[in-house]
Amino acid sequence: MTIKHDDRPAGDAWKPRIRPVKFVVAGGFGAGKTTFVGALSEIPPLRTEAAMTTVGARVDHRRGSEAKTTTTVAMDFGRLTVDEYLVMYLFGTPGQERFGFMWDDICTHALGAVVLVDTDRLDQSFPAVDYFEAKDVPFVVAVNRFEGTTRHDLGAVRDALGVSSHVPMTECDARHTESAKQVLLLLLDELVNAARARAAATVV
Amino acid sequence: MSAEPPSKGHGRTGGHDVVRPFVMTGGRTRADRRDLRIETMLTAVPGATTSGLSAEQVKLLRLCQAPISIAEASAELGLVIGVTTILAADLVSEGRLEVHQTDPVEIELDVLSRMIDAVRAL
Ligand SMILES: Nc1nc2c(ncn2[C@@H]2O[C@H](COP(=O)(O)OP(=O)(O)OP(=O)(O)O)[C@@H](O)[C@H]2O)c(=O)[nH]1
Ligand SMILES: [Mg+2]
Repeated sequence: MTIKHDDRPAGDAWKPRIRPVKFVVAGGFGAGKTTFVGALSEIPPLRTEAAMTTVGARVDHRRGSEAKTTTTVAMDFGRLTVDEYLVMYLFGTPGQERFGFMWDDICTHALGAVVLVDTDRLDQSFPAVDYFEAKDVPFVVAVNRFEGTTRHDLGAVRDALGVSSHVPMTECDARHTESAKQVLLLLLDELVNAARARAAATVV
Repeated sequence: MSAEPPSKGHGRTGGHDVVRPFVMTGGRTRADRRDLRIETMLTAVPGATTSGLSAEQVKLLRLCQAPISIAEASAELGLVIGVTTILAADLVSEGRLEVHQTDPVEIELDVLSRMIDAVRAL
């Protein structure tokens, strides 16, 4: 279904559209997603929950239906108000693998994504990288530096993750606003390039 | 749905009410509007009345006096995302709420520049 924005009643003063834009911060369990969102958000990260219905193994014969349990999965998000009409939201994906089914709900219509990588648990970043590549969501990879972890060079991390050479990659410390800012700016640059390419392609 | 009256505290996890919401939505677990996403912003249509609305819908409509996303409204109301979405979908179809969103493929360069300036200024 499409929403029409331009059918305002005649006489209504023209106003800029209200635009929420969504960014996703993904990565494995404990990779620093909440920390990253908190470093950039103007409000302390908010927590919201989505319900998940799991069909139990036990079948309730009396009611002729399968026993269902409803649990919730939490996600954190932050907000960055650009101006009265433009608001950026940063959503952290739930870290646990079993919430993979929620990714479409979180990621549909995302402008871009950041994949946080903990080099001690590289394998935990595979699902995010695969997901954004498959869905054509522009993304950047940020390698979080945790104390006491082995330093890997970015080229080695890129190879290990199987990230294509056109995907920007950087190091960061999610605890510091300045560092998190650079990651988001890298992603925004990438979006500018993509928008320019699209504009060039539509000019015949 | 179970005939048991929803008891307070039953099925609650982390402050969010899991069972009662499905009573609030008349048992529905999915909104029939696919255009309502977590970041979608809502605003109350000027002059929208609260007649015939449930207490939760009244609260939602009040929150939407200023633009607010479904995620923020959910956090504010203490409801799971799916329930807020269903409550909002009804208000939208009744013409009480207006929907605002951005399709990533139509994002303009000037909008990106405004975001870049805002992030640099942090
Ligand atoms: N040294 C270092 N520590 C970090 C960094 N980012 C996060 N941490 C720490 O790592 C721990 C986990 O960070 P979180 O932000 O909670 O990670 P998360 O990805 O949200 O975790 P889950 O939601 O449980 O998957 C916290 O103690 C952070 O302070 C980083 O860049 N460098
Ligand atoms: Mg977290």
